[in-house]
Amino acid sequence: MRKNLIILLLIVIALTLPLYTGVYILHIFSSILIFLALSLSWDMMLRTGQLSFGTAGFFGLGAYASVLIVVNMGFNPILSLLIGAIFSGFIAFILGFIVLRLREIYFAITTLALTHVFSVIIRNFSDFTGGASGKILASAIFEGDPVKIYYLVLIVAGLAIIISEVFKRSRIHYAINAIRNDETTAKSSGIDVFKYLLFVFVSTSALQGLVGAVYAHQYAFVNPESTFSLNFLLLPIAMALVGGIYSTNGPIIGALLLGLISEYLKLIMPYGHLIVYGLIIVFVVLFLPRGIYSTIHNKLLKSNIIGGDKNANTASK
Amino acid sequence: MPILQASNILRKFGGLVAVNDLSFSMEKGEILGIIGPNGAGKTTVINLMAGTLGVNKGTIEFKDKDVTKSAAHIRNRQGIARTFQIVRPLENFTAIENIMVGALFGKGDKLNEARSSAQNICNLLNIKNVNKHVDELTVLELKKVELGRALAADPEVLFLDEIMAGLTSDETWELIDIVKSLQKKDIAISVVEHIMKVVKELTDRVIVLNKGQIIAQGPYEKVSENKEVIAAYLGEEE
Ligand SMILES: Nc1ncnc2c1ncn2[C@@H]1O[C@H](COP(=O)(O)OP(=O)(O)OP(=O)(O)O)[C@@H](O)[C@H]1O
Ligand SMILES: [Mg+2]
Repeated sequence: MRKNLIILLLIVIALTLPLYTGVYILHIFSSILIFLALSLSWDMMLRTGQLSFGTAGFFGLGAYASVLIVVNMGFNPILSLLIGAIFSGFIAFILGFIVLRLREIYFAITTLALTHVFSVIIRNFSDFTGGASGKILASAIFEGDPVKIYYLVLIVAGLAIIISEVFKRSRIHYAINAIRNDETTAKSSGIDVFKYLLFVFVSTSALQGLVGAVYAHQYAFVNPESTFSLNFLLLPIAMALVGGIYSTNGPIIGALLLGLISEYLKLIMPYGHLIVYGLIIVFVVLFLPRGIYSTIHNKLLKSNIIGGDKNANTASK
Repeated sequence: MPILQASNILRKFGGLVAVNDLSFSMEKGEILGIIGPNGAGKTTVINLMAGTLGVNKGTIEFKDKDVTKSAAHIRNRQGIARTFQIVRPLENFTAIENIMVGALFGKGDKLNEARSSAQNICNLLNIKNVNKHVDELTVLELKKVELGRALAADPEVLFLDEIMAGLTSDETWELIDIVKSLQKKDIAISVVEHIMKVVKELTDRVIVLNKGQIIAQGPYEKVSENKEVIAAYLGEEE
């Protein structure tokens, strides 16, 4: 009951934020929501037991696909966002047949290498992609209107949250959790391991592509260096680790916390914020290995302050 | 007509021939014992039948269909289920959730159906702590969860790999009664066991493996007097 109230309150705040904040705050929250969606998408793949380092790669592919289709072919910008998602999902589908045969560190390294391969390919097709200098859009989406952009990003983050919850409350949860636990048991219990890995890989990559597309249209440009920046991999991972992996709430809390702290730190010491950022992550990983959300949630469960939530409990185990 | 027929199956691990040109069949409502000394190839036979491992040679027919090349999850959905000698519970799940996995994917239940299917199996197997996590379960409960997950797929052929090992005498009897009740449901059951009391009590027919080959078969009483069988077991003790 109390939990539903908190959720309702957060939704109301998120929806009404532009009514009482200025451009600067909206901008910060737009950026936090972008990373929140990436963090959730990374976590969803992690729930299958596969550590993906391809987040920045599929983010970049989606960004490029949607910008190029507007710049080169005059596509409608809003439709082009969907193209970004579809393109990243499609490439993930093709590559999935190869990379999803790999496990553990081999999967992780290969997805990281793919990110690099994507950016090299884009650099080399300069006629179409603008090469190393990238492409600039005539204007940001919605003529750069910060309120509209905020709502667009909010929709994307909301979509990520909904997908994450659908994963948690459906048979997908049982399949991917079983796969993460023990693939042999999963297979002999009737689970088509490859099908589920491919499904999650494609849907999370499509989501990353969508986020990339939105981000690129918000800033009205793409270039290989900044669009495939490892920030789009490392920050989402840090957020999920700090908040708590294998859950929806963890990455949300992590994104809000790290997003706000780093904004604040940027003000008081430019660039120094990265050091503090690193320290927070080290602290959380060392002392709260299950993340902030799971740790607090379990404490509250033990003291019976909130009712049992089996999913969250399962996730934090 | 047998429900499962393995013909001339062979499986090597490097130079070692673990299962060598083996043929056997299983019938509905029958409990087949698979016995033999350590390393005889019993677990490997189960792995081959369930599709956990592939055969190098030979064919496996299930309900008159060739399943030799089918993946493990396909065979499970078609009706071949197994337990593991060393239990392999899904550690992130509770007892009942482990069993739900079998119902969801092996049988194809919807989420709400799976929970009630799993609850029925918990009742059948007398699993009380259905909401406990795997790491809080006793050995007997773990064995039951392992069996329950296999049963939840609603199998027609069931392989049980030493499910009695490590249990007390009372616990063993409890499981013997459960397995007998499954036989009445017309499931073809194959039990791998080292405990001869269990083999004697449960099985209608036994095959004895040694070095991947059948060295004797028939009712337990007859097989247990076979000289070659005694020699194989004695050889193990040297
Ligand atoms: N995955 C594997 N890789 C290599 N060798 C294996 C593998 N699985 C089994 N073996 C070998 O095959 C032979 C048969 O093993 P298996 O586990 O089938 O025997 P078992 O009859 O079940 O023995 P136990 O009674 O000890 O369980 C053994 O020599 C074993 O070492
Ligand atoms: Mg064995």
